Amino acid sequence: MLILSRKVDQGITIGDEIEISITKIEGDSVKIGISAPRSISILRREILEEMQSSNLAAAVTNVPKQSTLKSTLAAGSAKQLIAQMRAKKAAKEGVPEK
Amino acid sequence: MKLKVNEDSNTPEIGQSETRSEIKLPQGLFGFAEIRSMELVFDQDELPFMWLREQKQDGLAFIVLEPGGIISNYSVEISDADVKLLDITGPEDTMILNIVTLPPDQSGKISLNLVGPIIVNRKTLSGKQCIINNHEEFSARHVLDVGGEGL
Repeated sequence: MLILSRKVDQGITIGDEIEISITKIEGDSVKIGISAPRSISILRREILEEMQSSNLAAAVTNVPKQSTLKSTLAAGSAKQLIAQMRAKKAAKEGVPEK
Repeated sequence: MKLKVNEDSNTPEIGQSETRSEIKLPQGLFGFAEIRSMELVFDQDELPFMWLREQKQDGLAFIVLEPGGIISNYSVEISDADVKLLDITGPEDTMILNIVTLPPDQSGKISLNLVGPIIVNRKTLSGKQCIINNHEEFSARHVLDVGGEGL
């Protein structure tokens, strides 16, 4: 990794289109200005890490052989939501709910 | 591009009669970079919940749902780069899938990742897990309030 020392109001350019400037240093916190084309995604690293851990927590192991969610969705609120969606759909189609 | 979530978009339009469709994920998912495709499987009786799973024995699986009519005031802003990559033109050809986390003990609350939905082009069935531009408005662990929310 390239490591550079910069002072306030100094900057770095990356390629032709990305410019980074140090705008303020206060204690252990640094304010950084970035100009880059809109097509370049700029994110705080924590949010990427949060997405990774969220996906890991959501991953389901031991998926039932059939496509059924029933056992997994035995949780009360899941059941309730399924029932509500069904009722809503039935209401929209004018079919009386079973 | 800003996509307002359509109230009625919670019925999958892809493969109406079918129960499964292959979704291409050329960039993988966060934490699962090696994934390239998964199948979206659903049973009418279990909607809004659907499976997004690998087409192999003991593969990876997620439970997902389309947020329309479930999460009130949810909207996603997708970066221009992602719009271009997915070749989507508007809400009609875009499917939003939020990943569901079930509590391990099956007793607690269901949470949804509203920050990093999987955005799928309904026509090409190609998708990407995107961090939405307006991510600061929503939670990655949004607890589903079945009682009141948007229903």
